[in-house]
Amino acid sequence: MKNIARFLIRIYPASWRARYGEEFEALLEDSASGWPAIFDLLKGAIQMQLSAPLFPKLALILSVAGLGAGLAISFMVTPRYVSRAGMAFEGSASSADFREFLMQCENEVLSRASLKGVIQDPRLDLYPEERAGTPLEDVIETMRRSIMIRLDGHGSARLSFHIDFSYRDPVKAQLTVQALMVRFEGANLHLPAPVNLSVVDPPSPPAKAVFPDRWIFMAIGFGAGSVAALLIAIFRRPPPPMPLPAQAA
Amino acid sequence: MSDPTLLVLSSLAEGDKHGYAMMQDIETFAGIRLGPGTLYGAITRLEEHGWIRPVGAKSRRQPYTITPSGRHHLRQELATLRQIVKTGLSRVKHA
Repeated sequence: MKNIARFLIRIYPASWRARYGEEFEALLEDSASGWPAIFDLLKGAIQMQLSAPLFPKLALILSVAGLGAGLAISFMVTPRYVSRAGMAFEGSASSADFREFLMQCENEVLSRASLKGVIQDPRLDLYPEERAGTPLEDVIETMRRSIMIRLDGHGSARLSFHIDFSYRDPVKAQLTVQALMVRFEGANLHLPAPVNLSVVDPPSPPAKAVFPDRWIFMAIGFGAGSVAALLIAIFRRPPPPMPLPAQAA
Repeated sequence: MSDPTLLVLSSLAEGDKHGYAMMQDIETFAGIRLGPGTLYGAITRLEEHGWIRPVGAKSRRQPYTITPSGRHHLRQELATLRQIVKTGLSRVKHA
């Protein structure tokens, strides 16, 4: 416990340690240690750091720098656009049957052959850079992760769902969702007893990128800057010891 | 009265002490065990105000003394506290 307490002296401001460090350490040696003392040390260190003259300036500079860096990085990362379309199975089938239809169609649409066809469709020509440098299997997996098929609602005569696809090109994202819908219609025809599959919402044209969210990037940058300021304040080497104030005779 | 700075000033009003002696004295007269961080936070603030100062040769167990302005400040604070205690007791009595 004494060792923890001694270690915690290091998180006091360097200038404070230079002035009081030795006598503070002597006090820790003399006094009883325990968790209350450790928490008291932590509380004292945080209060001292926040009141140290250097800390606010350092925190402000690094936080603003972090915010700027976050904003700059958000402009450097490749944006992602999401297109969404809604479809629905309708007919005289039970809810469980509709779910089974959806699962079968989904398996077919997301199969290797199906996605390979979409990727290599000359009209779409998806992931050209990735295809040049990585195996097609990996590209197919990447695409699979970019497709989201979610149930919207189901009842005794209807099951609706939506298809999302995220991609760096908004036009291609929309065209790809269109292609996936066509494949869903094809998969429906392969079911043992095809049901009516209708389009509820046509593929949406992505208006703006869903990634990166510049506010999140800036917030992360700001937070990282603040943490960096705290760490620098804690681990900065102390300046040479200051002399004690003049003693009264 | 649990303001650590007042406790430290009250302790030093009796005589010069180093940190651990102050801690023990405060526990004796006020029944409050100040943690090391709280004690040295108070010492730092008091020294910044010029209400206490180190005395003797620099040592690991550095004694501190109360300054005349510190004694004046302590008197003022205690007078305010006495007024609060007096008013509070009288109101409790008549409630």
